Amino acid sequence: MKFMGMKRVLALSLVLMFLVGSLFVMGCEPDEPTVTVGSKEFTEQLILGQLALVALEDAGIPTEDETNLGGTVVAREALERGDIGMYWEYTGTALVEFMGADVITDPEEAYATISEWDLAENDLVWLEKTPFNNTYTVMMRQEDADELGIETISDLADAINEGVPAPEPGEWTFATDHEYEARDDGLEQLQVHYDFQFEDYEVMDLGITYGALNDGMHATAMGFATDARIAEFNLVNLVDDQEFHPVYNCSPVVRQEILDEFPEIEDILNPIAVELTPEIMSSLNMKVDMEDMEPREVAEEWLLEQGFIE
Amino acid sequence: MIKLEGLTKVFPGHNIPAVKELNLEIKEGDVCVLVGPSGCGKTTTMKMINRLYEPTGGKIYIRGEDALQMDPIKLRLDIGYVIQEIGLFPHMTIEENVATVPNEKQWPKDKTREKVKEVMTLVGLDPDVFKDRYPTALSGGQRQRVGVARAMVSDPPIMLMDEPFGAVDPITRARLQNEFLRIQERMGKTIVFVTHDIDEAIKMSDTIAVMREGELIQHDTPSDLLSAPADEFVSNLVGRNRSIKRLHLIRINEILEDVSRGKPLNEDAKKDDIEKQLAESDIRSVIVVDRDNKLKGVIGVNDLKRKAGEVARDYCQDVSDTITDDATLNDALSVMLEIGEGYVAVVNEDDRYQGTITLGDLLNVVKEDS
Amino acid sequence: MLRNIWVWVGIPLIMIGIAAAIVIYSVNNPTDSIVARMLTYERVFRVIREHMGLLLVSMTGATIVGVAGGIMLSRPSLYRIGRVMETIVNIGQTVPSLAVLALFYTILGLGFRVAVFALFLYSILPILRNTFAGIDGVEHNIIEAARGMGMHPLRILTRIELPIAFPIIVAGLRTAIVINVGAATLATFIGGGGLGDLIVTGLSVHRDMIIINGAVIAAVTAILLDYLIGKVEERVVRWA
Repeated sequence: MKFMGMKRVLALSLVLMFLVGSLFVMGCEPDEPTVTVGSKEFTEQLILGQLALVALEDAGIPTEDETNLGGTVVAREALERGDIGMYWEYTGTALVEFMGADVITDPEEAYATISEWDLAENDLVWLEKTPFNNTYTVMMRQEDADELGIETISDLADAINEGVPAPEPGEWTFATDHEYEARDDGLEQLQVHYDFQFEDYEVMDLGITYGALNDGMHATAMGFATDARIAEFNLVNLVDDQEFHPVYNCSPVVRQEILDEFPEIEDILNPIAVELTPEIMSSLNMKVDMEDMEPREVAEEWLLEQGFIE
Repeated sequence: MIKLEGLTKVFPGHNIPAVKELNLEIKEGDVCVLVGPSGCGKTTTMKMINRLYEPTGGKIYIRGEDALQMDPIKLRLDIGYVIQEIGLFPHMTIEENVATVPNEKQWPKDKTREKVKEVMTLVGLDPDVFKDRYPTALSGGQRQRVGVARAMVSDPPIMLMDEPFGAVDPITRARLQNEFLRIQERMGKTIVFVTHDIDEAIKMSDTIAVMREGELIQHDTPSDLLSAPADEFVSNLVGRNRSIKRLHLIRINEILEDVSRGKPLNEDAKKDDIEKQLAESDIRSVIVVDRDNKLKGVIGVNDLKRKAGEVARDYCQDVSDTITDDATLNDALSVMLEIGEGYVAVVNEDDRYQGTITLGDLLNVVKEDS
Repeated sequence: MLRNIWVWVGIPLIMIGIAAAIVIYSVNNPTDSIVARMLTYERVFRVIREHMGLLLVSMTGATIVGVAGGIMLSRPSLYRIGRVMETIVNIGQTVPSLAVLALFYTILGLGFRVAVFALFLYSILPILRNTFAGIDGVEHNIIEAARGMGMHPLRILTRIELPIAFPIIVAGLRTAIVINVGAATLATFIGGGGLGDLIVTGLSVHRDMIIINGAVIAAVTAILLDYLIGKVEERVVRWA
């Protein structure tokens, strides 16, 4: 589990080399210090990245847009190398994936642990965390949940264990992405923790678990709690009543030397982070996913509305 | 054998007929050559005979039977067909290529194999050497032979040949023509032969049908065509040098007796004999043969001075090329021009020396004729 | 004969051996709990089975439809449509396989069957195009010689046109298989299973071991099938 000790995969390292190489070529003007903002590849990350970019630009800080880098590891490696100056990371992800710590389900404890470690070990500063907690979620269709009286994951486990007939497709099946199936704090441990077994599960791209659930191809599905499609498809997040899933509040993670160069970054981004509730994040996600707006447009609109920029 | 009556072909989308009201009768055992400039309708006419093209109007009788009423597949199986680019099947061995029609006719395997061997030998391809080869491994001339063998294998009474010797060099071409004439002498097939080359037409044909713009202009024996062209078009086609064209009509063996010159030297002949013969020779050279009368070489005046030796064998040089006695005088002329000598040695099928003919002999023939 | 055994058994065994060695090593030496969970013999055999299923079903269908379609389009009555189809197919080929998969997900939904259907359609293209082009490319004088000697059109097709077009048809088949093995790794995105399960999982949790297992088996499958078809073709086509 040690992040830095990992050998490179051929394929991935090629991609990385290409990315790093292109970053190197693009960032070839060392004269002027610049804040390069990165992000992972999904909607929420793109919006968060743009929020930072727009706000910093507004404050007159020279920035560079390197959002949409790829997965967690790609973004993190870029940050550690200094190819990017900052990106938004989730506490739970960093604890387990980078620090190799055990799962923490208390938001404050998680934040304190990872921010102390990262500062000491890697010279990386975790700014304020968001109120929203974009954790893994187990979802059902709203009408099925209402009908069967299922509100929590424990309720679901009981229903399955008691042999309650499953809604469409008639079996207690589960749609999952590849990562959730593989993770130590993923599908297998979920079932151990709550002491139940799905009758079957199907692995697919994260982007289509919501649709697979909505279309009745699966009875339950995993997803991310702030995803716009939960509202769009009228799905419901089952409450993680036994605190199985680690918490995933989000913080801008900035390299120390960037912060030394531009100390004002802290005052610009902290007030923004603390405003981002799950409802707000969901609605911002929705604007991109459902209304086809550009992440930058969404970021500018919201920052203006909130008076963060003029 | 073949009778065309008012045969007409209009291709869809064309106003002018490709073939117009054509009447032609070809006797059994005759080679009828259709000749004319490209686009004159000669190939179209031929392809109507085996109904690769369906006539727009007119009749085709084969042995008195209405060919247009017959099943085209059956009709074609009994008509040998050779086309210009030969159209050998590249994925089949020579044996399989030649066996095409027998296989279509579902002959017993043994019979097919025997017949293929026979016909390959007939066209001068050793079956043991060639039967398992693929067409790509053959020279142009060899492929033409396979094409002819393939058309002849089921012994069809009629053969259609569309410029069958078109795609090879002139020397190979003359050789193939001569061999084909020799085969035809034995087989006596009825042949429709298409060419645009008037020399080839004169050489190969019993009768020549000259065509222009879809119409038959003249149908005659080559000799009559040369002496009495029907109109200016035909006489232009035949050309001014009609005398030379006559060289196509005469075979070497027809004149060889009349031009007897000294006997060839045996390879063991002494120097004195060589000198004596050379002095008498009108070509300043003497031919040398071995005990079996096979051609050994030639000794020129200079060879005797330049080289040292006892007997003829020591002096003699290889000859550049020879000609077979069934070739035409025109072929002999070609060879002489090719090798740059005023004479050529004549051999028979078994490579035995038959005599020598010179440019002078050819001149005499042309003179006598005109 | 000895050489033959080497060609048909030796080289394939070496390739399979390399893949097997990698699988055995990584199953027995997992670097952590994730690798241990995601790389078991049971799981590896399952994804291989699924992958072969995707491949065989889609390729069988695509070969039948592609060759039959190519033959039909090469007949004189449909020839013009054939030329148009050739262009359409060439354009179709430029659509990325992931896009084809995505398209069929939105129309037909999830799972193995949808993945098979998308792969089937995607693999038809090179086979159809090459069959048509192969038959179309048979020299005119060869066909005319066959007709002129009295061969029936159906016999011309089976004895002349198809054998001569065979190497080109096989080339299309090989292209289709190599594309198919690669494209089938994308089936995992719509729940189709297969080797893509390993590759995409490995990528998402950054475990090289898992990726390598999936990628090596996929590569060996593609190389092996291409190799064997090539060898069969060599044996059949001795005239070129």
